[in-house]
Amino acid sequence: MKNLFLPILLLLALAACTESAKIQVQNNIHNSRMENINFGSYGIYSSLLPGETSDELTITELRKEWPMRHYLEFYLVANNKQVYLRTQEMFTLDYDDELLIVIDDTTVVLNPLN
Amino acid sequence: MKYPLIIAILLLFAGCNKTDDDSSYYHDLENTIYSTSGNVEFEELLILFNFPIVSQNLNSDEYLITQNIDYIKLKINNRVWAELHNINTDLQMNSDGSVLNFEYSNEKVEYLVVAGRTFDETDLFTAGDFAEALNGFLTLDPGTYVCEIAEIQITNSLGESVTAYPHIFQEFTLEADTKSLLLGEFDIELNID
Repeated sequence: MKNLFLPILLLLALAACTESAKIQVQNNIHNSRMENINFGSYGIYSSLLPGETSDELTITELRKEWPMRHYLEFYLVANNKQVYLRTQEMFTLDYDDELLIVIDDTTVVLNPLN
Repeated sequence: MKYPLIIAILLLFAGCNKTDDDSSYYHDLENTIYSTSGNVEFEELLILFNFPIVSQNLNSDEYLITQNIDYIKLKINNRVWAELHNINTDLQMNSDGSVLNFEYSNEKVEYLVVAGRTFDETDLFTAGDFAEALNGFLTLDPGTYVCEIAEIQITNSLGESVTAYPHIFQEFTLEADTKSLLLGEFDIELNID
């Protein structure tokens, strides 16, 4: 019993330091798929057709990582062509948030090369 | 014996503090438009130009010598294929004379223009703009097309430009797995008066 005290204490301490949040992305861009969607280093979804919403992704990180701010990065694919884009806006995700990012025709994006 | 336990707990809680590391996520991804089809795509039209000069000051056809073609606009099936700017001809030859600040030769001078598809991303700001551009992207599959030489501009040594609108239409046929094609040789008359 005494031998279990230290691991249990460490696990409790670790659990006390981690927090979670949920994030989803919706593709409202006409006639184009969003692929390889990333929020910072977190891969959110592989492919979204127009009108489709991704499954919820739960991100769990140490408390020191919150709130996190990242661009949404993705490939826009249509007509057998693709271009890498990221949003101009950074999105903030804090722990306990349930963030739905809607990307539509009016969302300002850029290709970092230009 | 108690010290390692206390140190371990302190280290864990120290990790709970928020740091100011706000460095943006580094990416090194593709950043231009790429094909996803996997097929060999047509990329370049090769065109030979020569520029007979038309002027009241010349008795017969003379051919322009220039180091730089300022602008060429090409259309395929009525859609803009290429808008080329400042094409350096890298031409090394002596002129037979000069008229209205244009150098000319008595021999035909040919210029090779390699016209890759032009895609201008500067006016694209929103996801809708990019979607429209991708959907409107001119992709040439095997088949028959018509190329129009729509506009050419050349500037003389004083910076005065001459623009020609040849409206030359040339049919061409693309076979499968063709990356480039020689469209032909064209006389573009430049009226410099």
